[in-house]
Order: sequence, then C-alpha cells, then structure tokens
Amino acid sequence: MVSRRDFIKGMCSTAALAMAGTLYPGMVFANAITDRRLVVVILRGGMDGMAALAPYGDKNYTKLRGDLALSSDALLRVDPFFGLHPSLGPFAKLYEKGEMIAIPASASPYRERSHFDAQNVLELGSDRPNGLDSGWLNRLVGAINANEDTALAFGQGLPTIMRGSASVNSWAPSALPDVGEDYLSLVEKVYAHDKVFAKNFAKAINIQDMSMDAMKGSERKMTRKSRSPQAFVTMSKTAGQWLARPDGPRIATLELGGWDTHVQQGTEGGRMANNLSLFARGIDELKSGLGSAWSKTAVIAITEFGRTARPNGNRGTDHGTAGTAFLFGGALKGGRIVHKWPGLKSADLYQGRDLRPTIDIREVVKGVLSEHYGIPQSVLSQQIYPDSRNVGLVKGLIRT
Amino acid sequence: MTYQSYIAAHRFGLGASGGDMRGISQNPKGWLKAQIKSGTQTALVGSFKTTDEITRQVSKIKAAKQAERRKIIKQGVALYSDEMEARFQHAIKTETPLIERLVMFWSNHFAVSFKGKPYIAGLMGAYERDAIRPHVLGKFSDMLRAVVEHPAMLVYLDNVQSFGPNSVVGKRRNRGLNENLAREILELHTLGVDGGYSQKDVIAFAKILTGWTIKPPKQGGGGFEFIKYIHEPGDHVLLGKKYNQSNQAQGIAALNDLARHPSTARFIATKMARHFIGDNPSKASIRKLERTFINTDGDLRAMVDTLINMTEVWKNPLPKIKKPYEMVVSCFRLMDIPDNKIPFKRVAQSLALLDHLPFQAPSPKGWPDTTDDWLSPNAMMNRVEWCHAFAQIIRPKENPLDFARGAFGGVASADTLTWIERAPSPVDGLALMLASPEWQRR
Repeated sequence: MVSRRDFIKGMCSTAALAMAGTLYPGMVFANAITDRRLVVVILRGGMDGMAALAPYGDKNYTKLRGDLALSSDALLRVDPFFGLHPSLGPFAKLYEKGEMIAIPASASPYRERSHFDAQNVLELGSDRPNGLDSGWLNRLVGAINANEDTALAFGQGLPTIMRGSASVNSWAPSALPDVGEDYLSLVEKVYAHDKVFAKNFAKAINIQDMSMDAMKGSERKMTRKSRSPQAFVTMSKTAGQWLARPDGPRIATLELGGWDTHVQQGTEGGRMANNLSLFARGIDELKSGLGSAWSKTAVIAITEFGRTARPNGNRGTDHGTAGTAFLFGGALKGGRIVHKWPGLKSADLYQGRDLRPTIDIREVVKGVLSEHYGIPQSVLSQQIYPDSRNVGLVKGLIRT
Repeated sequence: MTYQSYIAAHRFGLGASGGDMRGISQNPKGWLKAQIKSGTQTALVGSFKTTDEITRQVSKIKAAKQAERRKIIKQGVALYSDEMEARFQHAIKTETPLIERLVMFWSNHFAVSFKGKPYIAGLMGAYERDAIRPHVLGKFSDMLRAVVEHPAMLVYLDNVQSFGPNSVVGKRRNRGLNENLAREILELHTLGVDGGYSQKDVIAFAKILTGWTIKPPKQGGGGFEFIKYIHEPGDHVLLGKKYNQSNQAQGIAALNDLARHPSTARFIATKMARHFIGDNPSKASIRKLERTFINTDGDLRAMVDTLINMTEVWKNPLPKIKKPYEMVVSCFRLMDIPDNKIPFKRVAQSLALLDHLPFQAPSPKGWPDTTDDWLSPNAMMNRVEWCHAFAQIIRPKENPLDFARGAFGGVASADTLTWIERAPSPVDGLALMLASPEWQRR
C-alpha cells in the first residue's frame, strides 16, 4: 500500500504543486523558535511519592509505612537517605548520569482531596480549581512567542494544562477504522474552498504522516487502545522521535494514569510496581527517541497530589498531600535529590496523615522555565503562574 | 432549496429529518416561529426517576464504604446512560428541533458535569429535565432559580459544602464558606466576568447562598432543601445593595436582581448572538437582543423571536461549526436510521471520541462555542474518520449526489457536489458529503 506520505509526495510532483506549501510534510513544523525541548508528564490519579522514592534513611519510615514499607535491600539506594523503587531501574541510571532529579515532599497549592480539582490546580497554575481559563503550559507557549506548531499534546483530547488561547496541537492514534487514501484525498479537495478546513486538515495529514514515520503498525494499534498500559511507553517513544525532528514540536505533554492505588497497591511487586515500571520504561523510550536532542531536553513529571503516609485498611493509600516530582533530561544539572525533608513523626505529618509539603511544585517549574528558556521572573510570577510573587524558585536545576 | 432553509434547519434546528427540507423551504421563518408558539411542548416525555429519588441515592455517597460507593456510582452511570439515550433519540426524532437546540444551549450555559464527581452522573438527565427544559421559552429568572435549587448544581459547584461561619452548624463543626457556586453564578451564569463585581461581592453572595443544600441522608435524604442552621445570619451587601431578608428569601431576592441586571442582559445577549449569528456577532445585533432582554424582563421566547426576525441572522449561510453532538444528531436525522441499527453505546463512544459527551464539559464554563475550539487538526481528523465510519454502517446503495442536492443543495459549492459525484463508491460519496465543510457547518 502506498503510504499517505508517498501519496502526497506524488501529488506534489504532479498536478498539486500549487498546494505544496500547505501539504508538503515538514512545512508545518518549520521555524521552531527554540532548540530546547520541554516535556511535561502528568501522572494522573495521585502517585504515592513514598512508594516511588522511599526515605529509607528516616528512622520512622518502616514503622509508618507498615505493610507498604520497602526493604532497604530491595531499594535502589541512589542516595544515603532516599532509595528508588526497584521498578525504577532506568531512573537510577539517569541519576548516575546526572540526568535525573527527584523532589520529594512537593505539592501544588491545592490542599483538598478531589482528583479533578487537584488536577485543575496543577494544570491551570491557579491556586483554586477554576481560577483561570487556560493552562500554564499554554501560557508558556504564548510567552515564548512560539508558533502554532511548537506544542503538541500526545493523547486523546487536549489536557487542561495545554488549553488556552495560544494555538497548540494534539495527536492520538485514531480509535476509528482506517480510512482509505482515496477518501482522504477527496476530503482534501472538498476542503480546498474553505480556508479554515483546508489549513487544519493539511496539518492533520501532516501530523498523521509523522506518526506513520514514527510508529510501526503494531505500535499504532497498541496505542489506539488508550487504556492499554503499554500505550504510555509507545506514546513516549513516538513523542521522543517527533521532538527530535529538526522541524518537530518543542513542547509536549504525555499522560499516565493508574496511580489511584486505594486497594492492594503492593510493594516490590504488584499494581504500583507495574505502573512505576511503565513510567520508567516510558521515560527510557522518550530518551532513546530523542537521541542527541536529549541533551537539550527537560522533562517535568508531576502528579496532582501524594497519598496518605500510612497504609489504609485495604493495603492501599488514600488521597494525600505532598508527593514526589521528578525531573529528567540531558539539560539537567541532576543526579540529586532536591528536598527539605519534613520528617515522618506523627507530629510532622500534615493533618496527622499526609507527608507535609515543603516545596511548592510551582517553585520547581519556575526554576526549570527560568533556566531552560530564560524566562524572566516577572513573566513567571504574572503570566505563567499569576499572583505567585510569593512563591520562590528553585535555582540550579538546569545546566546553563 | 434556499440557504435560508438550511439556516433554519441546521443553525436553529438540528438538521432536517430524512433530509426532507420541503416543509422548511416553503417558509423557514414560519417553520421556526411555529416551534416557539405558546403551548409548545419542551418536556422530554418518558418515565424517569425524579430528582428527589436520584438525589436520595447520591447523598448516601458521603457515608458509603468502598463497595457501596462503587455501587452508587455504577447505578448513577447506568441512569445517565439511559437518560442520554432518551435525550438522543428525542433529538433525532423531534419535530421541534429548535427546542432541543435551546435546551442544549441553556444546559451548556448552566453547565454541570460529572467529570471528577462520578457519583452525580445519575442527576445529569434530571437536571436538564427539571431545571432547564421547562424554562427554555420562559423567563431567565425562573431558569436561574431552578438551576440554583437543583441538587446537581448544588453538588457540582460545592454549595453543599458551604457553611455560614456564624451559622449554628458552621460554629458547631467549625466549617466555613465555599465560594464556588456564588462565584460561578456571577461570572458564568449572570453578570459575566467583566460584569462589574468584586471578590467582596463573591463572598457576600456566598454567604447569602449558604443553607441552599440537599436534604441530609439522616433525615431520609431527597432533593433541594434550605437549611437555616447552615445559613449565615445577618444582612449582606451584594453589588452595593443590602439584602436584609432572612433565610431563603435573601437568596431568592439576590438571584432575582442578578437575573435582571444590565450586565446579565448584555452577557446573555452576547452568548445567544454568538450561538445563532456567528463567532463575532455585530455590536448592533447584541444591542438588539440586550434591549429585548431588558424590555421583556428576560423572556427567553422573545429572545428567540428577536433572533428569528433579525436580518443579520439570514445573511451568511455557514458562519458556525456544528459541535460534535450536533453534527452526529444531524447525520442521524438525515438518514432516518431505524431504531437499534446503531446501539446507543456506539453513539456514546463516538461522542467520547469526538470529545463531546454530554455533561462532560471541561469546566463550569461549559463547552466553547467558536470554530477554533472545535477544529484542531486532531479533532478534524476524528470528524473526517467518523463520517466515513458512519457512512459504512449506513451502506447507501446509490450515489448520494441526488440525496446531497436535496439535503444541502442550496449551500453546497459546485466543487463539493462534483467531488461527491466522482467519489469511487457510494460509501465514500456519502462520507464526503457528511465531512464537507458545508455539512459540518451550520
């Protein structure tokens, strides 16, 4: 079968030369304004930060975590106080290379316990759930004068963090049956007399072509089932490959759910371990997809809240407050745990039940954006996170 | 077919049933006006659970353990699914599609969603049936009150979590205000974000609305109830006016004033103009609607009548994009699909894929209503593929050119008709017609 791309090339060489400007692959993502790549991974459901990064050096850890405590033998002890979950092998490697930073006891300003509201706060960058009309990543796209093809959300539907007035794209493998090239070329012809339809459809075709380049058929089928656990891994790989292209996007989002571990979350094995392993494999694939562009990349992985410090009655954990944020990328000054550890004594816990937040996620994001893109403080505190003048900024996260 | 009849059928309605435009073509304005004359049925006929019954179930969620919780959610989602099926079936069969469009418009203006609160899924249908439908040709003030008194809205925007800090319950349990509902009524339902209110007004209004809640499960549960022990006592000043009523009368008075505020008239006029005229309606057309709103004390039938009479409405045939739900409904209406040919489950999957499942709006602001919001490259490809999948299920036998001429001959460009004619198969021809800009627009 002739691929859509060859088909379009064929068209370009013949009668459709006049349309080449809008159809030729590569034109869409021309003139990316910056070489630096930024990927935001949203971990939906509230990741248990202490399961991902265990504070085994805290003398209250084992007792507090009870059934959910990880033995220090099993942990990947990258640090004398903190150890990575055994499923996070790839992260330990990145850590050794200076390409990973973990930030335990961090949280957004949200202090209630609803996933939906918490994700809104995390993504809108407001201090209340419906406080703003646009997501902070969309405002970033606006702030760096990116063009409309700079940002791409990988996944079905545009996540809140990407919504807003700056033009951004999204891509997901279609869940609908494949349609033939004949039909698509007819659609193209019918759209020619409607400017908006013609422009957006040309982009759609272009994006689809890139995905054809990046993914094998079997991978496309797998990601198509967006609930398939493997979807995140293949999507991450695709994202890496697209971001690596000289004409590709520069800012992207990925999403991974499955963190709402109320019941039987497991320890070295089990549900949580499986999800962590997907997370790690996804980041690994993202890196390999990016190739040499990894050195110019920063990845921010954040979740809406952490979970209760102690296990609940079902060997799981409930919605909590502080969690662990992760940064990855060749652009990092990494190989560190950045923290102000609050302690695990009962009196140390927030409301007697959650890990106490000591670092605001906004401080971390501001730090990354300031050094990665050179965004001035005033823009960070007024545009990206409005009214956040009181919120500081973590310095020295990025190699400059 | 004239393009006036396409405007009537698609911009005001949801497409012609069986592609039959004859009744509309003779008198597009008359066809619309007949739908809003007094006595028009706006209710959804059928046997449904009442708001009170459903709320009784919903209110059990707070005390429920994991398994019970799951059961309540499952029941609610099943109920949602039944209600949405009835709503969809009605939309594709109704002979007063203008009413259905108005219902969708107002449901979206006063958006509730169970995204993030799955346990209120079962209330979505009842909300629209009880708070929206009875008022789409009535007074704005009546709809506003019905909305604010509906459990779906009270739970969705957290007023059930709002306690007067100096109320009996507030003091005893040390609970305070939740400003969510008060803020969104001012910002999204009445005055609009630039409507001239401050954070002080939000707080005052939140106090006024304390006690508007649902019957506690301990007292048997059920629908709306005003509980004075939760209400913040005293006078409160909203937009410079002192409300010295006690109990629920205070909130009713405030809502009545908000419904009649000039900013509200402007805000509602703008939204209706944007929906029925185009993404950027002229100031003159907004002013005309605004005057109608003020002169008729917010009579929504008069608003629609004003729109139908406006010359601007009938000028441009295709200024708006159909939102996915409208697009899907118009395709079903066009094809006269026999019941059960396409199970509702598949329709719902389509709507989810097209990012427009009813009552799943991303925020209390509801779904956006301009072209840019619905035509991202990904959304566009989904539409194009969906039209093809739909045409494949329909499996038309003939080349759909004649059919296309009847359905949208007056607005389709010669190009579009030519390519439909040249399509290699009847399926491709029909899919192309449905995917065409002319069919995707209204």
